Amino acid sequence: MRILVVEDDDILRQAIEAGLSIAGFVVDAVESVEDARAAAAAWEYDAAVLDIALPDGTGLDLLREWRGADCRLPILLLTARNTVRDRIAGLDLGADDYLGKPFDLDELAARLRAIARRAKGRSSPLIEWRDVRLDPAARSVTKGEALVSVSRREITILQALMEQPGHVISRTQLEERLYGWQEEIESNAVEVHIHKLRQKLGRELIETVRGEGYRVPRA
Amino acid sequence: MNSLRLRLFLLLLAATTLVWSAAAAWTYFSTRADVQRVLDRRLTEAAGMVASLAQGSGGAVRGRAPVPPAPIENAYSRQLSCQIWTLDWRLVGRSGGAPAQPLGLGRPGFSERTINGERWRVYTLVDRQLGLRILVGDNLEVRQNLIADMMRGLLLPAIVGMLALAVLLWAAIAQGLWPLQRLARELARRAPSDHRPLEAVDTARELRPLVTAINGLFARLEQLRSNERHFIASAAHELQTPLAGLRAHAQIALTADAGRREQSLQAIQESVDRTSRLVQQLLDLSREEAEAEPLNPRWLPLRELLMVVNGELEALLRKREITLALDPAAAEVELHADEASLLLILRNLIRNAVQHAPPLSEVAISAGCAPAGDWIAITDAGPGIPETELGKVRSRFVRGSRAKGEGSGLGLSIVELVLERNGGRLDLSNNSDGGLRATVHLHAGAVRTPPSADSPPG
Repeated sequence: MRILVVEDDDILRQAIEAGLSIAGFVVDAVESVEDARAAAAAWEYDAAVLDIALPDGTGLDLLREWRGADCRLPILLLTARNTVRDRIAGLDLGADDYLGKPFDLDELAARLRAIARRAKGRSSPLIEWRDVRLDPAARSVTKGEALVSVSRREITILQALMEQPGHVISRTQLEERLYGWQEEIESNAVEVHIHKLRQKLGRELIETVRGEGYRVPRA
Repeated sequence: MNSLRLRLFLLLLAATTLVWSAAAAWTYFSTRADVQRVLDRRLTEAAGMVASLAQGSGGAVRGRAPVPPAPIENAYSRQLSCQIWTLDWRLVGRSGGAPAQPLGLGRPGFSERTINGERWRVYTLVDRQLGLRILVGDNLEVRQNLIADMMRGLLLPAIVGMLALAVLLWAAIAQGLWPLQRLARELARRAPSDHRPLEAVDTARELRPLVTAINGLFARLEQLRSNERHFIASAAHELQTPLAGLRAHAQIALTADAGRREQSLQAIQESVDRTSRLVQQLLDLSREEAEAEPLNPRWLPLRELLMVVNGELEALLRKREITLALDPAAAEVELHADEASLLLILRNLIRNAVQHAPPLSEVAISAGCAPAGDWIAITDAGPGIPETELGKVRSRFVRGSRAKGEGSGLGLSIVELVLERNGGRLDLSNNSDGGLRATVHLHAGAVRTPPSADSPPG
């Protein structure tokens, strides 16, 4: 999952970036409303972490702007003002969740998974396709009763495909999910990961659509 | 005399007593004059009466032996004494209580004379036809007693009246001061947090200025309290962000691999330093607000102050590769100011400048005299502050949109507060070639260049 983090305090921003990438997210971190606006316009994110107090505006203004423009990006507000009234104001503006500072990184990761999942119309934390079962929180995959060993990137690709069965996802889209801005994209990486996933979970799981990309067929 | 009631009571009582005393004196003098007039007329009438009686007896009186005086009946009966003398001062007759010596000297008309220690007012009638002097006299002491009796009759009810009036005044004043007492009671009943204005609807007109003043004070207190609440809330929120960073890095350090752990521990160290600086700034701010330290202005060499600040900011300066450059023209300048205040101003402004200056640049410090007031200026080569934000960056916890690096948004607030107390003003402007110039305007005569051995004369 690719997450946009908007936080102006550089130490906290680095911590969120590091913590979320340990939890298996691909993270783009920015420090201002302006940068956040540009990032959200250029890339597709599964969720965003939005600080309220920013140097060139407030996260709430950005939230209002995005929701006004019918942007459905799941948003978790992060703020030091952790009062009931502030929480209600944030949620009423269209935030999906709210976390007060200081917070636990695992809780942040769990809440991000939850709002991303709800945005995709799933209520169960597990993603299933026939007998293949993916647990985004534990970052584990089982086939039947057996636990299958899969790498962090393989899981990211598998999750992207399994979340929308029958939906074709291009190689570029998959690369975007794998790498943050600063990371260098390795050529053929997507093909290699797909190949390994097919080896571990069976060829029928991922279909190649020529010239377009990949998809998991409808179950 | 601290009791308003007692004060009013005594003033009213004094005024009443004065008026009553004047009235009594007036009554006394006019009564005495009346009594004098009436009794004098009685003397003339009595003398006339005696003369006509003597005439009736056809001058036989003249040859008679002295008649013995009639017995005294009461105190007032001695009042009128009568003597009949021949022209050659032979006593022909006298009334009871009349002395044996002549009452008067013989000149006709009114006269006064002391006989045997008693003062007499005498009317002398000389009848040459009969060859008699008729002297009719009043004992003045008796006259005085008469007046005193009359005055006593007047004064006694007056004194009783005064006492009754005093009691009534005392009670009436209490009643009159009731609105004041009610106001006091309402104020005493108030909770310390209750700063609602007092109801002025049924307040006495005389108390309204007081109520207005109290309400004004309440409004200012409420404003102060709300500022304080807002400040505490902001300060607490401001601390939450570095705490969140600390917590998150600690969590990473606990679970991550060695390389990440080291990064996180470094971040924790940096974050603790920053948080402690934030706390220091909060303390500076509250100390300045409380005006706890007395100001002690004296002449301070700018160069030495900069050395202190340079030492404090050494790590930051080294990290950002920035040097502080004192304008050579201001190298020997001395400033007349409170040392702690001036250091606080320089420290905050220079730290701001260093944080926004590009690496390897200089932060320039200059000072000078001007007719409008002497000044110190700190100039950096950073991005400056957008013109639209120049006004609001002085507010607490507000940082400009181009703000870089760490910072709490408190520095300029502290500088403004210090300057307010020391009588100066901060001016922020963008240089034409970029960068910010922070000018501290001090009072005229605050900057001087002391004459030294190697400076040219003049």
